[in-house]
Amino acid sequence: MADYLFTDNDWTFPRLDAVTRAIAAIAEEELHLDTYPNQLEVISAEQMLDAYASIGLPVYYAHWSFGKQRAIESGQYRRGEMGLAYELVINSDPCISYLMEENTMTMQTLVIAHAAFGHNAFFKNNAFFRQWTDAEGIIDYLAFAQRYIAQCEERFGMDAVTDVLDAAHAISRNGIDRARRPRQLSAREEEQRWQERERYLEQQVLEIWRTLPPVLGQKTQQTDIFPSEPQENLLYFIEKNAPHLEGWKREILRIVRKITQYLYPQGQTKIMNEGFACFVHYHIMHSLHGKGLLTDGTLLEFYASHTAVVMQPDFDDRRYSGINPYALGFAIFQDIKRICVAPTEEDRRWFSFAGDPDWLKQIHFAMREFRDESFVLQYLSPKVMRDLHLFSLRNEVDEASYKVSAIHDDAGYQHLREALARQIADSSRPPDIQVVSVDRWGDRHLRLKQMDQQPLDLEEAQKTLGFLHHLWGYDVHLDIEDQTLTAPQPLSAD
Amino acid sequence: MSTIIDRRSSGTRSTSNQERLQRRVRARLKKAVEKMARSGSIEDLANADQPISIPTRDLHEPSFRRDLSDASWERVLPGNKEYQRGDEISKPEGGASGQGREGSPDGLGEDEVAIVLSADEFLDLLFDGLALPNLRKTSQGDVQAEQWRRAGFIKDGSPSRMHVGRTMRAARARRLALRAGKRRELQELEEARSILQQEISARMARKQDVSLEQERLRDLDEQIAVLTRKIKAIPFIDEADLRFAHIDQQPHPITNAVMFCVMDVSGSMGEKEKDLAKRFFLLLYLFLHRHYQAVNIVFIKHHSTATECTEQAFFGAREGGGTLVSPAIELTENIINQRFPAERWNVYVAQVSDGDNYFADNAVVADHLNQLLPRLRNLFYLEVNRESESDLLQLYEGIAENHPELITARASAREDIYPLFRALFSREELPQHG
Repeated sequence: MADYLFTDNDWTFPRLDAVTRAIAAIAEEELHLDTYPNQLEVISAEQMLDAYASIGLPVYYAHWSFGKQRAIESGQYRRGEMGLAYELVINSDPCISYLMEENTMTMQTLVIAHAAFGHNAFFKNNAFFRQWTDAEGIIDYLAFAQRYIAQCEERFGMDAVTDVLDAAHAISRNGIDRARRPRQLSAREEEQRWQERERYLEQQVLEIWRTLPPVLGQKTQQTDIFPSEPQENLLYFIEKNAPHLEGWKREILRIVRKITQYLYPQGQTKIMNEGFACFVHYHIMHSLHGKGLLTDGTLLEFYASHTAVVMQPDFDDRRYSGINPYALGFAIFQDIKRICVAPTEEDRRWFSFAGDPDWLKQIHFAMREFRDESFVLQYLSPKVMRDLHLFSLRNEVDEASYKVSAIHDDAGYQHLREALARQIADSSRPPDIQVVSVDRWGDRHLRLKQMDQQPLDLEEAQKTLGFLHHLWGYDVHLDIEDQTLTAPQPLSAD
Repeated sequence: MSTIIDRRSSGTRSTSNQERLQRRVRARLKKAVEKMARSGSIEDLANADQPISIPTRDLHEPSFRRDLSDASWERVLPGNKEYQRGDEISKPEGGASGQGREGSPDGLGEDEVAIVLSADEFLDLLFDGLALPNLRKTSQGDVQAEQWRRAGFIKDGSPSRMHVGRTMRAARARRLALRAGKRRELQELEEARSILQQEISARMARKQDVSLEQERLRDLDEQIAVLTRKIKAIPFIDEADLRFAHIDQQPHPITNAVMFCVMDVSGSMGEKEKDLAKRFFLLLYLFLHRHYQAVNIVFIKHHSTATECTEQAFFGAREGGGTLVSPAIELTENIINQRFPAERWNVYVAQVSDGDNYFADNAVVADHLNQLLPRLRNLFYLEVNRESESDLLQLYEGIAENHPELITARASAREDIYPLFRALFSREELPQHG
């Protein structure tokens, strides 16, 4: 057949181009995907390892922890313990996808469908990404951050910068505004303003540190609690309120905070993002084959990779390492389509949209409006639970055995759904630690409080407090249920 | 709306992170490197390219995180086969293994990170901050040798260096140039001749007189014959065509070095002293190896007599008797004369001794040294394990005043060697011993 896009498996640039066009047509006509323009970049395995080390970001500031990450991963890769991802995609506009040069043409086709159209559409349309990230500004902002931090290293020395970054990284997971939409990033604006801001910050008398006697008649009392409400964003709080932090250190905290914020939605939508991308590539590959553009051999090779990716090992399998987000996400999206196209009696009881002739609308709705936790809570169907043979296990500290709390039967579906949603929520959220007060009139200590009941790793917490102390400049206390940790650690009695 | 970019040529960009990582664990890397320097054999170390494992706790990144090892939890798992609700599964011995603390966000469960140092990075760590002795002088003043190099083509030379290709090319060019004009002329004459001939036959057909034409034809034939002869006379090859490959002698720094390890193995040198010596030789070897393409080592042990030996015999030897230094210096000199002429080799001598020498020998030593030293790049004399300076050391120090290539030092413990070595090469003050 002369119509095949390719028959042997070597990729070439003209072929990549032809395949991308064919996929774009299907994505638009059949799946109505709205995507950012694509920028496909062919890279080597070494470059892929680089990208891994910097969380996939194409530009990033330098820090030893990224070097460590790379050392670990390249070691694993060389020993054959870890395969590299076939692709990596960045939430940016244009949307950058990396294609590994080792991939066969079939794999490149799969990767383009998966990343450049699946993930790309997800980035552009999912409410969470729309709300929390700015695809257009990110690359510029990263470049600004890299430049800024390099300049700081020159001016203030590498060690001083590393200290600040270490501390900022330690509390970065507690540096996210979960309830407020962050301001959009703009590198140009940042760069124009940073020097100005730095000067300003240095001169500014921070309101909370005003120790002049209150103006007569004004009702400022020494008993006022600052902050007036507990603050969950530790990075932000320190950046704005630390008594003696130099301007450039505040700027670095800000950079770490902005980048963490940008990455936040990815951790909240892993199952959906991968599930949707798999759903898209699955549809596109079949459609290409159906149109006579791919050979049967290509389709078979695709199946081999696809099944490997969406495979869920059982809990007692040696390969088991938790729920595979690709498997769960793909199963749910496929199931949404099935519930529309061929609903069973059970589906009609569980889902109001069962039998909707417009399955694509339902898929789009699910892709746009949810994050993993709510997605599972909304769409995890009894059929998928049965297919995956899900069950839940309960552990009570003082009991000698685990208890099976629910299995995939009528009595257990609801429980499993909720338990899984909770598990997803917990694993993507750091312990809830908030700033409750600052001793403004006394020794300026900072008091934090753990707001949730989750057991905290105390040793880690103690070390993290050390970093907080480094930034804050005065003692830092953390109240946990029945004890208080302090940094720096008080000298022992003897 | 899609752009495809080939990024493969832009290379990797992790070096700055690697640098920062190495910087962070520098202390530990140095310790590991020095440990290797202590235990390895001299030549293996120079080619060290082994990964160095750094425990991840040195590189730990703390954060607030959960610890589920001693807590209640509920977990959803895939792949149920036989369980029913309410089933109990006894916990594994030793608590909730496999459900331990929450993995760090970067997925690290490993205990160690392997940092692979390139040979250069290894040596950089080992010789951190060291400069080669007389580095400036070295870069210009390493022993030079004349080396024949190709230097284009010339018109004159010995037949054995004749370049056939170039010669034939020149010959062809000359032939073409000389023939071209004559050929054109010849062609014109031949055309004229054939026209004339046609005319002659035409006139003969009309029974007209052709005597004039016949004469012109003869004339033309003569001209053609002359021209043809001239063309034939252009030689296929001419002396002017000859080309010869030219070679020229150019100065070229010698990149071979030889290091003489000279050690006193008399009874007064114990295991400890030898260990000190080994570390000293080792470091010197590594250092030289880094600068020169190839470094030969010659081991010379001596007591009252001197012999050349293998590395094993060198460090294993324990021989009795008194000590004479001059035979060792003499042997070194002989070997240099026979095998390592100073104009072709960068010669280094490292001598370790406890300073014992028969006092009458000192004058002989001084004589030999004065002869030997100008031919050496450096002579390092290390005196080990003495309470105070020996006469020998004082002698050497005296000679060093006129011979800057002689460098002396003292060490009494293992820890002294490395700083001492650093001091020697960074040209700092030598560490003082009390």
